[in-house]
Amino acid sequence: MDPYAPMSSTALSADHETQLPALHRAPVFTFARMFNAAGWLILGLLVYFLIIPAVRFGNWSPFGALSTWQFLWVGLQVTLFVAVFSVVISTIVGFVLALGRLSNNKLISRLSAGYIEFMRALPSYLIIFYVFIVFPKIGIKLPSPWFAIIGLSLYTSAVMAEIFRAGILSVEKGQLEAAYALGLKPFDTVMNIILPQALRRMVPSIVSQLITLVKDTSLASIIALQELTAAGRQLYEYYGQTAGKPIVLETLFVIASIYFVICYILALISNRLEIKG
Amino acid sequence: MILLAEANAAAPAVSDYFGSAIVEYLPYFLRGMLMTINISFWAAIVSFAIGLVVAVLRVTPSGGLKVVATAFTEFFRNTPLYVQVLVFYFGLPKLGIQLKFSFFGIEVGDSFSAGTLALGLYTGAYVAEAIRSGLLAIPRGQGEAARSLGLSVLQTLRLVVLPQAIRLVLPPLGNLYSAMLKNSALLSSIGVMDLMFQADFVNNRTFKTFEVFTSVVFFYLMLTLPMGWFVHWLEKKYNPLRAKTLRLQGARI
Repeated sequence: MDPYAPMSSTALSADHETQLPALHRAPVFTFARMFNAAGWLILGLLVYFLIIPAVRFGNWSPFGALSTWQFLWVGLQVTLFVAVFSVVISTIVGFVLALGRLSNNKLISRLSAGYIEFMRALPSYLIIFYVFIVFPKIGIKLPSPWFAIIGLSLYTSAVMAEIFRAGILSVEKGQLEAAYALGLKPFDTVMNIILPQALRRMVPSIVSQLITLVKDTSLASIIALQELTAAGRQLYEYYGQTAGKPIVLETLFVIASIYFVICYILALISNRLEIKG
Repeated sequence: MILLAEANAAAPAVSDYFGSAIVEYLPYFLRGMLMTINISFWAAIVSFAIGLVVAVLRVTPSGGLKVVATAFTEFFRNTPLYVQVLVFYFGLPKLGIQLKFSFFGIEVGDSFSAGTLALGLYTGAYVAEAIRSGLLAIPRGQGEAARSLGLSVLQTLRLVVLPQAIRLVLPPLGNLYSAMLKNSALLSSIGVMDLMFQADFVNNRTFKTFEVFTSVVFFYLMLTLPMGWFVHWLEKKYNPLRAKTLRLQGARI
C-alpha cells in the first residue's frame, strides 16, 4: 500500500477494477511459448535420435575393461606432464617478456616486441612441427615430451606476455606515481602495487590461455608425442584390426570427454575467480 | 600424406644451392597458400552462420534451445580441434554420412569438407560466445523500444539489436578469424593440401628440412601479419578506448 496516496484511492481503484471490461485477453499461443515448445521438441528429438542410438548401438565393451583405461591413463599422464611444464615455463618467460616490452630500454623493448609479434602470428602447430622436425636435424636431441614443451612454450609465452602487458597497463598510472611519491623502489612498486592489482584482472585471460594450452598438447600427437589423443588413435586402430566392430567414434567421444572435463574445470575455476576479483 | 602426395606428381628436379628447394618448389607453396586461404574462407562462412544462430539461441528465453546451444558451445570450446577433426574425418563416414560431394560440378574432397566443418564449428562456438557477449552488452531498452514500435521479434533482432552487437564485437571477431587462419594448419594432418601439407611434401622430396620449414614460417607470416594489422585497424576504428581491454580478450582461442 502506498502510504502517501490520498484516502479515497483504494476505494476508487477497487471500484475501477470491477468495472474494467474484458477488452484484451492474453493469447494462449504466443510466439515465445511456441518458440519454447519448439526448443524442447528439438532437444527431445536430438536425445532420441542421437544419444539413445549412440548408447544402444555403440560398441562400448572395450571401455568396460580396466586395461583400456590404463592405456589411456598413460597417455593422459604425458598430456598433463607437457601441459604443466609448458604452463610454468611460459608463465615465467611471458612475464619476463612483458617486463622487457614495457622497459624503457629501446633495444630490450624492441626485441621483446619483435619476439611476441612474431610468435603470436604463427600457428602453434607449425611451431611444434618446427621444433620436432628441425631441432633433431640441427643436432638437438631430447625426449619427445620436451620437444612438445619447448614448442608449446615458445608460442604460449608470447601470448602470456601480451596478457601480462595488458594487465599491467590496465592499472592506473596514478598508482605508480603514488608509489614513487611514497619512496618505493621500482622493483617493490611492481611487486607490491602493480602486480597484485593487475593479476586479478588477468586471471580470466590466463586461465583461458591455459585451456588452449591443454587442447594444443593434442597437436604434438600428430607428429610424434605419445599422449592422450595418440593413445586413443592407437586404441581404435588396434580394435579396428583385431575385433569386428570398429570403435572410432566411441573412443574419440571418450577422449573428448576427458579433455572436456579438464578444460571445463579450469573454466569453472576461472569464473569463480572472476566473480571474486 | 604419402598417398595424397601422388597428386603432386612430376615435381622438378632439385639442384643444390641454399634455398633451392624454395625457389624450385615455389608453385607448390603458392598453391598451398591459396588452399589455406580457401579453406579459411569457407570455414569463416560456416562459423559465422553457426555463431550467429547459436548466440541468438543462447540469449532467447527458450529452455530447450538454450540447453542445445549451451551444450554446443561448451563442448566445442573445451575439446581439442584435432579431436574434432578426427571425429568429422573418420567418424562421420562410420555413421554413413558421405563427405565427398559435388557442388555445381565442383568436386569437394572428403578431407576438405571434414576440415571445413570441424574448423567452422570449432570457431563457430567462439564466434557465438563473442556475439553473445555483444548481445548482452546492448541495453535492454533498445529491444523493448523496437518491439513497442511494432517490429516483430525477428525484425528487432535483424534491424536493431544484431547490427549494434556485431559492430561492438568486430575486433574480437577479427582476432578469432586470424586465430582460425592459424588453426587451419593442422588440417594438413587429414590431407587438406594447404601450406603445411605442401611444406611436408617438399620436405619429403628434398630433405632440406631447415630451409623448407623456415620459409614456411615466413609464408605464414605473409598471411597472418596483414590480418593482424587489419584487426588492429578495426580496434582503432570502432573502439579506440576499449582497444586495450579487447586485446586482453583477443588472446583466447
